[in-house]
Amino acid sequence: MRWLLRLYPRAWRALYEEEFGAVLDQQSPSFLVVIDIAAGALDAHLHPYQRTGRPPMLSRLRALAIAIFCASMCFALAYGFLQKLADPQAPFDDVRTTVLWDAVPVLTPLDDPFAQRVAAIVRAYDPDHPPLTQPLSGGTLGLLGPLRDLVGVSGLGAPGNPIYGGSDAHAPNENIRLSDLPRAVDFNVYLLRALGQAV
Amino acid sequence: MNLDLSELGRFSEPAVLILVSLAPGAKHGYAIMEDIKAMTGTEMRAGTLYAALNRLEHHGLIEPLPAEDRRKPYRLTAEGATALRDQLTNLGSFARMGLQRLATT
Repeated sequence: MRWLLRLYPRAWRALYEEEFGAVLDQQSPSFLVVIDIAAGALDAHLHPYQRTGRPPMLSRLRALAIAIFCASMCFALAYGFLQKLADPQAPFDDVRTTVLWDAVPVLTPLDDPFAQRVAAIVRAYDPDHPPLTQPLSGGTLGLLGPLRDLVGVSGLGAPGNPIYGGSDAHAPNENIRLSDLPRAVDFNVYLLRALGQAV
Repeated sequence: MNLDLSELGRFSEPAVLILVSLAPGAKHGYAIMEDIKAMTGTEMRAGTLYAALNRLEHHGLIEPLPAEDRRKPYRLTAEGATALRDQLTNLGSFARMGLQRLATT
């Protein structure tokens, strides 16, 4: 267990290491002895009573740095332990994941002429309900990343769909209300026809 | 000015035990541990022992003697004897008061 004495400050070891080592040689090793020595070493760093040769301010700063480090480590350990306690299913041994493809997320370019054209068509379709335009990313629209990387299309305007707007399609069950479907079909037909005419 | 041993915080109890152990004469670390175990039935581990010895030496309550075969004996100083006497007197007064109160219940 003599290696544990390396945890103590050098100045402290110069005073006590030899006799402390002689005492340890006569003790049987145990977990409690290790904890006691580690706590003693921490105490020797935090309360350097022995002459260290350093100015008091430096000793205080050093003790403060050690205290902050130890507090951070304790926090990290406690946080990890609590996370483990709070997650009864960890470590998910029954789940295997294989990455087949990944894509860099890309935002819909709202100033793209196509996006502007779709917005204009929506305004014409229902003047009382102006289009909601916002950049989308992730989810199904991860498609935009491969389009940019593989096809060379630098982003793509994505027209919205009343089915989603009315039914909250990303609800947990992903269901769509049937009552929204006729209006969605009507809008999509209008949108595609308007796009065709514009070309 | 004498040191109040309670100023040593969590090391005040180990400090009293060490001072009592050194009261009859000088001892080295392991002999102090064995003596405390014989006196109280509890074991003082080495990390605690040397943290307390460090404080007692710093406050001038004990002093080291020349080492003998890697073992450095410590002995009580006059200040240490005074501090121990004060502490034991206070403890004795407290013990008597507690026993008196217990007797009246």
